[in-house]
Amino acid sequence: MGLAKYALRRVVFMVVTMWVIITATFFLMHLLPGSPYVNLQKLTPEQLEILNTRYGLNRPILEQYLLYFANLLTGDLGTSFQFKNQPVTTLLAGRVGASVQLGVQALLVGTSAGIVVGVIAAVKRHTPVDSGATIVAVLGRSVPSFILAALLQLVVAVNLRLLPIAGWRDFSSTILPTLALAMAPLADSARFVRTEMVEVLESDYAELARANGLSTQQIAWRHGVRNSVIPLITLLGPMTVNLLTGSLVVENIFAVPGIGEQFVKSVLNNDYPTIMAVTILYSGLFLLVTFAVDVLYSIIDPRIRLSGGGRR
Amino acid sequence: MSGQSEAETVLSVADLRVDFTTQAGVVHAVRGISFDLAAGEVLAVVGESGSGKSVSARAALGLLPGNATVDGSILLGTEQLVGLSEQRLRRIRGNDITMVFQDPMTCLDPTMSVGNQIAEPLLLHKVATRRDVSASVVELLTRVGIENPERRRKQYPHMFSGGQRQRIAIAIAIACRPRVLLADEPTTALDVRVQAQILSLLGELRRENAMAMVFITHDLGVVAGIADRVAVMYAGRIVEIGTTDEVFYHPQHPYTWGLLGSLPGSGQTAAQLYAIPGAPPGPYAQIHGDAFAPRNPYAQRIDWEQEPPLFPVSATHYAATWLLAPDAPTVNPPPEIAKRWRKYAEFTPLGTKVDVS
Repeated sequence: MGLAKYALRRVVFMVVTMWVIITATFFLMHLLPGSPYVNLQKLTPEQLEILNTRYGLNRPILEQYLLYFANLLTGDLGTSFQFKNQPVTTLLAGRVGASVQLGVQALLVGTSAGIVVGVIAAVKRHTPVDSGATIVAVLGRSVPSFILAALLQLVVAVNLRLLPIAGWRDFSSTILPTLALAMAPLADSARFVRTEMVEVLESDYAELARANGLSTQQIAWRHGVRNSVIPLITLLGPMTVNLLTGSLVVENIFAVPGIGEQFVKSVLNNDYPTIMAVTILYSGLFLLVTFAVDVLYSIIDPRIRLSGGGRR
Repeated sequence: MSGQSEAETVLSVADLRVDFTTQAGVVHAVRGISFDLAAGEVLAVVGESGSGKSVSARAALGLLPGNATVDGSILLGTEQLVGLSEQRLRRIRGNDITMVFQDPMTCLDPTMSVGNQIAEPLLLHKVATRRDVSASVVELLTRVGIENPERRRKQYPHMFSGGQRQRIAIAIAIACRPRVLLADEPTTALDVRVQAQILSLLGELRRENAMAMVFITHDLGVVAGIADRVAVMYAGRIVEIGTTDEVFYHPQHPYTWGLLGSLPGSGQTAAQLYAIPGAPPGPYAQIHGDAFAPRNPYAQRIDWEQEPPLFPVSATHYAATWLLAPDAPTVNPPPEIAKRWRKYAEFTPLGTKVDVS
C-alpha cells in the first residue's frame, strides 16, 4: 500500500474521531452543573429569557448542537460568554502561539539532546560517561518541571542574570521555560535510545557490519540511530501529551500567556464556546501528532509502509 | 583437490588459545589449535556446540568480547592478526577476511535497502566510488543469483526469503573479494533444498575468486560436498584433521567414529542411529588427560592422565588419540567405521579419489 493511500485512510479516521469528540463533549458539557451567568440570582426571568434567546440556550439541545456544528463548519466557533463577547477564535489565537512555540521548542530540544545522550551512553557503555548519562536521565525524569523551573530562575536569571526571569517577549525569554519543559522528554528519550542502541549494537547485523570493517561508532550512527529512533517515535505521542499538561504549570511560573490557564477558567465558568474551542484545539493537536508519528514511522521503517500496519 | 598443498598459504593458525574471564572463573574456549589454509581451499571445522569453532573464527576477525584473551598466532598472509590494533583490523575486516553468519533472518539491517548494505563495505574500503557503486551492487546481486537486481537492490530485507537474504549476506561478504571467508554455520538455519543451493554458490565463488574458506558446521552431512579438508574439534582442540576422504573413510579418533556413526545413513532406523554417550565437558570443567576420555569406550589409563598429542597418520592426516601411540593396543573400530576403512583401502592404493557424495 502506498504512503499516500495510507495517509488518506488515516485522515478519514481522524475526521471521524474528531466528530465523535466534538459531539460527546458538547452533550457532556451541558450536563455540567451551574450556569454561564455569574450573577444568576440577580437576574429577573425576563432578563434570563433575553440572555438565553441571545445565546440560543433556550432551544432544544439537539437544535443547539446542529446549529453549533453548522457554525463550526463555516469556521465560526462562537463568542466567549466571559471575556467581553470576544470571538473565541480571537481569544485563543492570541494565546495558542505561545503554547505551541513552547511545546515544539521543548520537544525538539528534549528529543534531539536525548538521542545524542542515549547514543553516546550506549557506545560508551559501562564507562563513567554512561553513568553520567544515567544520572542525567534519572534526575530529568524524577525532578518535577516546576522545581527545575524555579531552580533555573534562581541560578540563571537571579544569580547569573543571564536570561529574563519570566515573561514572553523575545527568544531569550523563551529559553528557560523551554529548558524546564525539555528535561522530561530528554530523560525519556535518552534512556529509551540507550536501551535500543545497546540492543542494536549486539544484533546480528551489527556483527556483520563489524565483520566488514565498520567501527562501533559507524555502526551506531549508520545502522543504530534509525533502528533505535523508530520505536522512539511512538513515545512522541505520550511525550506531547505530557508537555501539554506540564506546560500548564510552567506557563504559570514563567508568566507565559498560553492556553492552559484559559482552559481551566472556561470549565469553571461554563463558558461553553471556549470549552468547545479548547477541546477541539487540544484533541486536534493530539490527533495530528499521532498521525504525524505514524506517517514518520512508515517513512523510517519500510516494513510498515508496505505491509499496511503489520510488523513482520 | 590434492594439489592444494603447493598453493600459497593465506591463513596460518598456530597454537591459538582463547580464554574468557568471567565472574564464575576462566573458560578455556580454545586450547591450542593449529592449521594452515591454502588459497582457494575449503576447510570444514566440525564439532558440537561449545567446542570452540565459532570462537576460533571470531578470534581471527578480532570480534571477541572484551573479557577474551587470545594467545598464539593467526597469520593472514604475512600479517599477524593476534594483538593487531583495532584500527588496522578494521581495514582488514571485509577487505581481506570476512564472515558469513548463521541466521540470515537477523543478519541484515531491516531499515536499510539491501543495495545500500552491499555498497557499505565497497565504499568503506574504497573498492568503489559513490558514482559506480550501484553498478557493482547490481553485479554482485546478479552473481549471488538474485533476479531483477536493478529493482531489487532498492528493496528491504523483509521482502526477501531466508535463502535470498543469505545470498545477500554472501554478496556483502564477497564484495571486496576477500582472500578468506569464515562461514559460521551459514546453512544451518535454512531448509535442506536451500542449503544445497547456498553450498553450491559458495563452492562456485571460491573457485572463481580463489577464495579460501573456513566452513564451520556441526553437521558432517554438509561437509562432504564442499570441503577439501576437515578438522574435527572437541572441547577447544582439534582432535582430528585430514583431507575429507581421510576423515570420512579412514577416521582414527573415537570421537570422529562417533560423529560418523551418528550420521543418518541408508537402511537405518532412528533407533539404530548411534549417539555418543555422555556430554562434552562444561565450560568451567577442569580437564585432566584427554577431554574425551569420559565418553570414550576405547579409553586407556593414559587417556585419563595425559592429553594425547596429534599423531600423524599420513602427511595430511593427524589425530589426537592414544590409540595411535606406538605401544597402543590394537582395537577394532565399530563395524560402520571398519566398513569405511575397507572402502578407503580399496581406493587409496590406486591414488584415486574416493567419491564422497
